[in-house]
Parts: sequence; C-alpha cells; structure tokens
Amino acid sequence: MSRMTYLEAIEYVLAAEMEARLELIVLRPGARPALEESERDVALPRMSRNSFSVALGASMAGMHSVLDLRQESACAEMLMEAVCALPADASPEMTILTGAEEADRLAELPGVMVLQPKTPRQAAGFARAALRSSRLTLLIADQALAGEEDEIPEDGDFMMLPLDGTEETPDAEEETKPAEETAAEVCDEPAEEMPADFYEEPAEEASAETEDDAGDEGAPEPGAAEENTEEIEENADEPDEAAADAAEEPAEIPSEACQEEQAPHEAEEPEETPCGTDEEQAAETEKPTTHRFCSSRMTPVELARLHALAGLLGMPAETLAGRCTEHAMKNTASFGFVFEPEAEPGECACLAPGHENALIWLGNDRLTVSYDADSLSHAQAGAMLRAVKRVLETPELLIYDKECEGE
Amino acid sequence: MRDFLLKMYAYLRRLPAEQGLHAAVAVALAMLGPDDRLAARAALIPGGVLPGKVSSSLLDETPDPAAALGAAIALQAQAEGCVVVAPVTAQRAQEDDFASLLMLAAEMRLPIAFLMECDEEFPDDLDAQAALGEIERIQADGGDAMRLMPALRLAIDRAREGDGPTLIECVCGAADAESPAARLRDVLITEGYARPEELV
Repeated sequence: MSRMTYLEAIEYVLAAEMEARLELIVLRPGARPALEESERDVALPRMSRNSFSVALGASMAGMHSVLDLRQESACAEMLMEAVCALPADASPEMTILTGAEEADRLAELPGVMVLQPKTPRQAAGFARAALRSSRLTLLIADQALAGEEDEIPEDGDFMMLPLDGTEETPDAEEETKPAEETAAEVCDEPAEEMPADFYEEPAEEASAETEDDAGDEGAPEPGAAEENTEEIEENADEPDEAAADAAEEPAEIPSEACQEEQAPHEAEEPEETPCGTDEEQAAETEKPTTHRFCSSRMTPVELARLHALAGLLGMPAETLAGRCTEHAMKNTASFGFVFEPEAEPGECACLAPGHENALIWLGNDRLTVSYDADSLSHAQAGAMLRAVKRVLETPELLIYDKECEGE
Repeated sequence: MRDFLLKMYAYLRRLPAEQGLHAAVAVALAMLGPDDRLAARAALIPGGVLPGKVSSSLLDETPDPAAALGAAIALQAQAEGCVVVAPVTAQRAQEDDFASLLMLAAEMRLPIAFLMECDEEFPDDLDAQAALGEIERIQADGGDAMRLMPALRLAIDRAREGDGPTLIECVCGAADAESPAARLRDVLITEGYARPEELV
C-alpha cells in the first residue's frame, strides 16, 4: 500500500498500465507528457475538436488511446458533438480524462461509460477499470479533490467500478480479481443497471455458463435482430429451481424465485449477448439439469402486429397469443402459456409448478420455451418454438382458422 | 511490374470513377503493404487488401485527416516502417485546421502521406503556403495512375524511412477527361502488359 493523493493515484495507475501494456497510448493536448521518454505519451497542441479525432484514429489503429483533456476547461460541447458523430456501430477503445467543471453535461454523453471517483482509492480503481475497458469511457477527475490522500493498493490488478455511483467496493485484499475476469464481469456493462442479485450465482454454475458466453457475439439492438435466428441458451439457474420444485436437492436459488412466475425473473448473463450458442453446442453441453429452455427473439414489429391484430379482433393480446400457441401446439399436451409484455428484454422463463412438460413464454422481446428435459428433447422443444413463432408471426392466419371463427 | 499494374487496374475498376481521388487511392492500395493503412471514414484499410474486398463506397465519406494523424501516431509508436495514406478532399483541405494538422504531422515526422484533391485553380494563398512550408509537397496528375505512381512511391518511401509526411496534390482535371481506368488500360495494352481480353 502507498499513500497517494487523488491525482497521484490516477497518474500512478496510468503509468503502471502504460508500462504493462504496449497498446496504451496517451495523448495530451495542451500538456507536457508525464512519461517524456515514452513514445506512447504524446504531447499535442490544443486542437479542440481534432483532439478526439486524433485519439479515435489511434484507437482505430489498434491501440487503447487515452485522451487527457484535463487542460481543456470546456470540452463537453466538443465531446458531445464528436461522440454523436460516431458511426452507430463504432466502439472505440478509448479513455477520456477530463476535469469536473462540466461533469453534469459530460454525464449525458450517449453510449459512454462515465466514471467520477470521489476518493483517491476510487480514482485508482476507476482509472484502471477505464484503461482496461474495451469501450469508450470517460473518467472525470475532480480537481477539488486533488489534495485528498488515501492508501492505494499497489496491486497491479486493483480495480473498482461503482455499483450505485457512490458505493465503494470492499477492501482491496478481498476484491482483487484477475483482470480478465473483472473486466468481463464489470467493465463491459454499466453495473448500476444490473439488479443487486444479478451476480449471485454459485461458482460452479457461473463457470458452466462460460461455454455459452464464449460463443456470444456483441449484443445487437433488439430491433436489429430481424433474421429471427433461434437462440439456444442454457439456463444453469433453472435446474436449481426445478430441483427445488421436485424437492430432490437443496436449491441455491430461493424457491420463491420459481413461484414468482409472473414477476421479472433473474436476468441471465447471456442477456446482454443474446446471440447464444447454436443447438449443437447447447446440446453437447453436459449439465446435470432436468430443466432447459430455448428462445428466439421477436422483433418489435412482430410484437406490434400481434397487438394490432388483437385490437382488431377485440381481444386482449395475451388471449390472441395464447390462441396462436394453442393453434401451433394442437397435439401437444401439458404445456402452458405465459404472456409478459412488460418483462425486461432477455429475461427468461421459469418452468412453473403444474406445467409438466413445457411453458411457452412471450415476453418483451423474445419467445421462450421452458421445458422439462426429461419429458421433451431439445429438438422437440426447438420444433415447438418454431411452430409457435410461425403462427405468432402471422396471427392473421387464425382469422381463417375454423376453431377461431366460431368464437 | 505486370502484376502490380494489373492489381492497380483492378482497384481502379472497383472504385467509382466520378470521385476525384479514386485514382490516387487505387494506386495507394496497390502500393501499400499489409502493415500499412489507408484511412477511410470509420476504419483503416490495410494495404494489400484484395480488390474484391474493397467497398465501392470507400470514398463516399471522406476520412478525417485528424483521425489519420492519430493512426499515424499510433503506428509510429507501435512499429517502424508502417505508413498511413490519407485522402483529403478539396473542401476539407480548405478548412482552417487542415494547415495546423499538416504542421503537426511535419513537426512529429509522422509516417503519413496525404492525398489532397485539388483543381487547377487551387489558390495558393500566402497563409497556406507559409503553413505548408514545412511539409514536402508533390504535384501529380490525379487522373493518371502512371503519373501518380512515382509520386506515391516517393511519399511512401519517405514515410517509411522516417523522413516525415508528404502532401501529394492530386490535380483533378475536367469532367470529360478520359477515366483513369481507361487510360491505364490503354497503357497496359500498348506496352504489352496485358491483352484486351484480360482486361474486362
């Protein structure tokens, strides 16, 4: 541990990361380089809007660029313009270091992870998190805190991220994790958006899920997934719930979570990366579970059509969705249907008690089949999913269905 | 040489002829090595990319020369001998900050070659001349690939050897002039590098 001031902590972490990682480059408009002997600590003239472009170019060339704008008193306007001008699919690996004069405006930058440490310890932790993040990150260094001192761990992997914007993580000795794990777990998504129990998973299940995560791509926007590719996702949590239902094993997840089938379910880690594994990979994944699920994304257009047609037919949307499901599953017994349009995107269904074989669940953005793997094979569940989705995509067919005409 | 000329011809056919810098960009793509980069709007195109992989809309949006500068800074820090080629439209070149970007490139001796589009009436005002005084300037016929070749060769070699940036002023002629692809085709056939049926 070393005692450092707030600003020293940031520079210390920056120097340490520069030494450890050759892909870091620091660009300092209007300032002298701190590491004068390094080719990767570059002083630039004051360039206003061009400074962001220069940093962006360095990022495009494969480096993690650090743009130090602490000498610029008014950069919020420039940054807002520059960030908004980025192509929609651009994801520059860049850290911007600014002062706190325009913190309120800077916090509004779209698509940017904004970190504003309040203590020297947070400054060190946040700085490292920003430098190891693969996304555009803004680190606001409050000059008013320059004189504050604190003990800073000299651990090269000490890193922190805010949970609710103010909370400080536990002591360094407890929280230090391998950088890769911490970065993947924390840096790639704003932690404050995750429910408090999001990471409450047994270690063995979290590791078992890494096979799914390994095949994941970047998270597409819900509206962009118009190919309707089927996504097969393994739910390692559900087996515990199913086991709790069967009262065969102690469930690590409270049984109330299974009974609250109408409440929002625990978000799964693959939620942010919904391009899950393919069927073969999912089928090959060996897990000691009896409950599985597979899901397919419904586009907003498809869901809107369902609602529109339900309005025309004068029935609630869930009734129409249920009818579509029944129509698709005419010969399949022992399944249920749940309609949850308010559910959070990516939330997965839970096989509720009383539904022996399967539960078809239409949520905000996807259609999911939860099924008992002892009763249904993965292929059967996939076929069920496709059949229901086919009818949901063209619910107008029901208008001509004899079973519906009479009602 | 034959292979190089044919590759250049393939790039010329790939890029739309109505864009002023397309000949210079085609020559650059043919000359750049795999570690070199051509600055595009939101990406850096590696040299040696196959003509079929080059998007025909490559020059639809002109790249920001500041971003190209950043890429050159990064490449200079990463490895020696890598070059960035940055197309710059006439409109962008006349903005106030372009001269300062050139001066910065010259001061840092960045491995970058700017392909600047200009017409024959490009005004050489005193301020611009003063700003550009620090940088090596070469004028070339922007519509003739064979004349662009030595200019780009010189610029790329200078950049590789650490001699700093070069500004290639690609003078783009009248709209009814023969297309660069057609000109090169004539040269290839006349000089015996290729048969007409090979140049579809």
